[in-house]
Amino acid sequence: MTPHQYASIRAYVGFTDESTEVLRSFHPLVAPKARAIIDDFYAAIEAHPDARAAITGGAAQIARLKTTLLGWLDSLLLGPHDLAYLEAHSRIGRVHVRISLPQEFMFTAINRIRKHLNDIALRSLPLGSPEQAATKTAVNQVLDLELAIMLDTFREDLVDKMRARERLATIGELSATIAHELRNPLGTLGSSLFLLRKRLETLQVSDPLLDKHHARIAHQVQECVTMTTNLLDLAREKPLTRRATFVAEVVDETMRQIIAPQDIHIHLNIPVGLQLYGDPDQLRHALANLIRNAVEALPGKGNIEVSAGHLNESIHIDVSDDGPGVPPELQRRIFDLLFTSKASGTGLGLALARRVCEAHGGTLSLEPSPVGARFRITIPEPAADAQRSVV
Amino acid sequence: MGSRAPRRVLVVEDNEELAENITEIFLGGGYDSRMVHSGEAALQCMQTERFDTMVTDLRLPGISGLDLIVAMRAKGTRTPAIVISAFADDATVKRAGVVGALDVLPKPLDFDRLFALVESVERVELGSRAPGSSPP
Ligand code: HEM
Repeated sequence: MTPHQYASIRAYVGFTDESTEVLRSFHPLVAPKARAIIDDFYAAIEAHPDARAAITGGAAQIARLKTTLLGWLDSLLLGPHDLAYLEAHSRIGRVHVRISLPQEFMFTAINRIRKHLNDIALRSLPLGSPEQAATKTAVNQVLDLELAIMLDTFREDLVDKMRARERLATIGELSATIAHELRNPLGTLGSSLFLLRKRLETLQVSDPLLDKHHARIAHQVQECVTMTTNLLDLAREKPLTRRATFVAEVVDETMRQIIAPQDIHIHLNIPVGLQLYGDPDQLRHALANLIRNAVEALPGKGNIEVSAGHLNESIHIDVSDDGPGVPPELQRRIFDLLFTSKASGTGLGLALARRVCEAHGGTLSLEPSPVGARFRITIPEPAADAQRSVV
Repeated sequence: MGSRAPRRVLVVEDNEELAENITEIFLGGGYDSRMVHSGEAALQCMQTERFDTMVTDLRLPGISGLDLIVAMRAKGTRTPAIVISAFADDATVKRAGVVGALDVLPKPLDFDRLFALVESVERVELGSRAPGSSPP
């Protein structure tokens, strides 16, 4: 919140320096009861499963939080309610944003405090006195102000996220344009390679070095083509064309796009007749990204298994490998756009694959496995999906 | 005259090196092939020469590949057309079907697929059926 907005909201709730004075003289009446107010505040949080879930550090954290909340209550009543106050209390708001506390809890939490302070004003000050009326007004004003400060930190966070998304969208558009422009040069490279190969065949030249480098260029061109395809798909957000499809068919067709070194063995374990309801093209694309990732994760040799089956009300397709696995510190980030841990990666493959799965109402996750990595696609079965869309 | 002359393919592609490569690949495959670099040039070329198949880029400097097909049909030229494109989204594919393109192939080209498609045109024509939709 800017100083200007702060001044504006202060004026709107009617908060003045006089309100600060009133709250200051109220503070000694509240202080003896502060501990009880705060115990009740946390009792309410602990009684609610979702609110309690925000407290991850157990009793020790609650004890610590109670002390900080005492400090907060002092600051609330003593002020001064200046720009330093705004900054300090915005910081407290941001702590809650950071732990993803749903902002609706803030209303109830503030009201809980409001009720206690009003009760104290009601009981400790002469009934019907101007002092009592002024105190109740100031209490309500300062808590309105507090709620505005807290909620504004949630708004700031959303704005930040939106800006980040816009930046990403711009990067996305730019990369799609570049990807598109790369298609002709890549097409020329590819067709020249094709012509070279034909020529070598005609001349009946068989030379291991020529073959090796021809294959190497062809492979790298193919990598670039895959990258541009991923970029374009990402930018384009193709709508799904769903139909009932045999999983084995999707997997078999995917395997045709996969080039793996000889010592990497890919085992397919797909139940005959297993069907899913989805967009076979896009799923192939997602699956190809997972299998390619697995191939690249293996040190030139190893095993990959592609398996599928029913799981709850979904069809799952798993791609597992016996490679080094994903380090724990990277597990949360591997699905992020533009995140990559590979020297030649672009950070598109997994983000794209996840988007395809989510477009189907399904998921893509990294599952725990004793060795290597196991990625799991789930696609809801039509019945479950239909039920969901009815709701 | 009586024996079968090589099939003629017109390549419309504004990237000159790519156009040359595609033409060369057709020539290598036993076709007679010519290239032009714009839709306008293609129309002009078809006024004086006959082609069995046209392979055209979608995005061209003047009229687009799809406009080219429309213009060509308006002049009564029935040459089957294959569209190649770096950015074949669903709407483009649909529109290509509407204007009567045989198929839309993504760039970079899969030449085996392109050849198969051109051959399918031959077979259809030799079987004296009108060129219809693309093979599955
Ligand atoms: C009137 C509303 C609230 C006030 C004034 C308040 C105040 C505070 C303060 C002063 C801190 C310490 C900030 C720091 O580290 O400097 C804090 C942290 C925290 N609050 Fe609140 N709080 C409120 C509502 C809630 C609610 C409703 C919940 C949970 C349901 C909650 C959960 C937490 C947690 C988990 C932390 C610790 C975050 C961390 O450091 O990991 N708070 N709060």
